[in-house]
Amino acid sequence: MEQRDLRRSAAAAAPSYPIKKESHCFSKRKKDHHHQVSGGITASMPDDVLADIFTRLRDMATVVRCAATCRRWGHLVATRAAVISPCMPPLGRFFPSLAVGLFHQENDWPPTTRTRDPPSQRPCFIATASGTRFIRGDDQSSLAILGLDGGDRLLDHSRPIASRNGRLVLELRRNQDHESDGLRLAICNPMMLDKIDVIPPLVLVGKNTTKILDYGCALLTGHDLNPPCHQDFFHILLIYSHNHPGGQSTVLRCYSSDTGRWGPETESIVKIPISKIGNIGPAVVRRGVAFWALEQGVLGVRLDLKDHTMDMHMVPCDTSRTGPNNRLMGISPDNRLYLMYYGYMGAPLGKLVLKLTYLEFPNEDDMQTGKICRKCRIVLVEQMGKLMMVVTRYVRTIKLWWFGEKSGILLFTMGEGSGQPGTYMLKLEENAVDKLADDGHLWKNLLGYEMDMTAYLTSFSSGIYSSNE
Amino acid sequence: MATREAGKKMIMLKSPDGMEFEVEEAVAMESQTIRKMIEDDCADTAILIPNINSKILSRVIEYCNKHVPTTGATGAAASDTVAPAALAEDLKIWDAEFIKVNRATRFNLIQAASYLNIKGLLDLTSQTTIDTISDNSLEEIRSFLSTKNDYLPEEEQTIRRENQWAFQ
Repeated sequence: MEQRDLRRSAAAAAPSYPIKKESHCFSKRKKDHHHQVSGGITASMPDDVLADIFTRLRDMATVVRCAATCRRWGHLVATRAAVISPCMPPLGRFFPSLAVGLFHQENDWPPTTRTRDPPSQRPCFIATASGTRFIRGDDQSSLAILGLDGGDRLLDHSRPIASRNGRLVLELRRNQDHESDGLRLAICNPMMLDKIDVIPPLVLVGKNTTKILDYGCALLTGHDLNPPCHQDFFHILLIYSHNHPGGQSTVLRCYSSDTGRWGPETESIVKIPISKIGNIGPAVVRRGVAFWALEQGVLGVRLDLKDHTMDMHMVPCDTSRTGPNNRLMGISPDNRLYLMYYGYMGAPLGKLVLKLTYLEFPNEDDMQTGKICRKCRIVLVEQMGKLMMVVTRYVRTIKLWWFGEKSGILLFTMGEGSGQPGTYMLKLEENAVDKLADDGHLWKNLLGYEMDMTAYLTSFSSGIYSSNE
Repeated sequence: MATREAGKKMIMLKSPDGMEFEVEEAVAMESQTIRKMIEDDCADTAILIPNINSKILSRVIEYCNKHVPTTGATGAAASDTVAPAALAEDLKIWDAEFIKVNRATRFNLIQAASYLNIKGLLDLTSQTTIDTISDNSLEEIRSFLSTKNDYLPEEEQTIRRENQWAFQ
């Protein structure tokens, strides 16, 4: 795996990816000028001893209160966040503040034949209201990751593919890509941007093979394993169509950061037409199993870490009334899996509702026991304290894009026909909707991003609470 | 190496204020830091323990004496008739008594346990601090640990506002 170490390259004489000094990370960082002045009776206690105590605190709220006690403690919590955060139990509820914003790439692929490049070649970023304080205040769209520049313009034309647990997967694309270049993916943590890992390209071999253009992607990180794995660990699971001389098949394939290689193709237990595979949407992960909402039901895929085999199961589920844009998988803080789709009540101006159909697993670790629960939950969607009404004749102009498993945020867009075009985020815990942009429905790629708790704790040293800015 | 009783190796520990403590090797090796020194043959005559005064060091040795596996225990050796559960219960009571010290001593013990790498002692000494932090409001944490709040009032206000969930 090729690694682009941005910090190091920025310091090198001839960096291949120079970035502006100010934008090496999208958190604001300040000099540590306070260290010695606070700490009280614990002042003489070495950092390591104090940090060890922090790792043994009861929960995340206690850690945050600690960070608020004095500057030294705040600094210590922030700089040791990567050690402290994995020691804490799950929050037990959605935490909307983790949703920092969304990435979008308006342009489709392959690039249009226009002679001039479109104005925005890179993915753009839109921050949520609570996310703005975690990124550079002067220019929201200049996230460090998008400000990267270098000889080969790594991120030009790239598009966001998957994001979970603070990581982001991008597909790298070039104007002159050839089929033999294969599918090129890269992974990074936009909040702690010190490196971008470029994954070896996935090239299909054999006759009649073409470049993989449409696919579904699931990202698994160390947090998904039990017990949790080291923080650099990740798996990228793809589902795509492969043309064989005998016809076409739907296959799954996994890249592992441990082996640094793409594993073998495994045939899917369900066949997905090539025209529909691009709409498969992001997966959610529960107990190490990736779940996608498909037409035929909910597909669960478990990777065996030892022998790299895949175990699949399809939970039958009637999704016939919903198109690929209307359904998405979600998961609750108490680890219940559900299928989400929107609906409306009343006509011709209807109340927008979100329906959650729960999946049950009588035997938690055996996905074969999965079944649809008869009870479903209906969420009345409100914007600014009022029920959201849509023109029901044009209800197809709503698209569900992404669900944040930790923040409980659902991103959706509405087209012109709905009467309220734009990009919206629904906070599932409060049923409340915020508008993020006036457009978005026609964007080709849109993906939400939520940071992990480590990045959240790191904010205590980044000066975002300082009053003098 | 000094030998006091037959078959028992003794180790000399020195505190920075000049006190010397002669302890059994097994007792001293409750500390992973000292164990490493002995195993690496760096413990010829006496080991100087920096930053830990004689008062604290004597308490640490007291703890190690009590917690050293019974085969190497001194004086009133554990008899075979005592059940392990009863032994554990006895240790628990002893620990509870041991930790009844003032705050300054406790913090010194935490530091000593950390430096000498004695996990049991570190768990025991820092638990009270963890409980104090976990169970109390910000103001109480500051007053119990006499930590000076050096955030500006506006900063603290922002922290509380943006992290309201942690202060409820």
